[in-house]
Amino acid sequence: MNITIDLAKKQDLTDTQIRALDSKLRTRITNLIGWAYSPLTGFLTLDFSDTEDNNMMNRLNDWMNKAEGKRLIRFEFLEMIKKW
Amino acid sequence: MVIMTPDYSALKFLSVTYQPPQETLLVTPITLPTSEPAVPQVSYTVMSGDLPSINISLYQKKYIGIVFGAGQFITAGTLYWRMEKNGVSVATGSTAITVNYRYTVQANFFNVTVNDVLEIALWSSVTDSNYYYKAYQIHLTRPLIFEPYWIMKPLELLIIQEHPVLTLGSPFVAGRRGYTIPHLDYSMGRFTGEFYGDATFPKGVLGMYQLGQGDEVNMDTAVVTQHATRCPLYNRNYTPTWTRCKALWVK
Repeated sequence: MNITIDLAKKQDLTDTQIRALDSKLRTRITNLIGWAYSPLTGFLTLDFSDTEDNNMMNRLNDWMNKAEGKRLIRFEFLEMIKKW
Repeated sequence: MVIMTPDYSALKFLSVTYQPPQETLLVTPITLPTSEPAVPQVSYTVMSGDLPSINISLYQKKYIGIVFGAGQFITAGTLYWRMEKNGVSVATGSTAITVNYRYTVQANFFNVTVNDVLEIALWSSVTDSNYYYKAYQIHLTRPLIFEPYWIMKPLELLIIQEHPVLTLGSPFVAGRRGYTIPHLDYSMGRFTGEFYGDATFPKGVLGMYQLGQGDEVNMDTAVVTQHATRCPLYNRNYTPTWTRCKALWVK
């Protein structure tokens, strides 16, 4: 799962500033895997890898197990739809 | 009363042939520095021969430069990276890498032209991480055969290929991105196979189709993946390589 935030600030970062931002982000967001920032757009993308996705899939699998062999047809999350 | 006469163009065929990716697997890995290197480890200059071969002249086209840098962390640490185009920073970032895992940085440079220099600088929070693989390929996106504001009737994308196809190291495809068909002010959805459109109306900027990786998503930024054994671990694009269309306009 990725989240992109518009920081509304387009600034190139030095090595020192990258490390400072990295430290600040990881302190505040404990399950953060990685991040990317573009000085061209001012967009900051936070990468949570597959952990959050897998958590959701594990919950889906749990619900499938509780369906006692009945076939799952469709799962809707916001406007996204997964069909079997 | 003015009588409008619809008119069709001749049937046009767009054939796109991708160049194979340029790959280098170092025999001896290079240790990553613990501060940003003055000279990026991965560097490619876009040459005309790197561009996909196109059979006809296009009114519009954009190229995506997809550049890879990959290696391994012996102890757990943080990988830092920077994408540069012609010496100007395009994006920066970091990723926490698990002990003994291999990492792949897939940098997507949007709107590249011949003689552009595309680079990735890599450095690490620990002293025993390395870099041993690089690759590069150019993708075509947003092609437009006719001028904008003409109705494409029909628009048919008949052959779809996956690119890049990496071969060196222990390559593994992490994901595949479909292409989208712009129509008026919205997209007709994401496609991974052939597309048959009775009538579509591209408004110019996004062309007849828009690739996923490096254009619709992850434009001018990098995706970092990691795995215990797989490297490069990367994303492919579904790329239309044979398109047939006519333009309809009213005069």
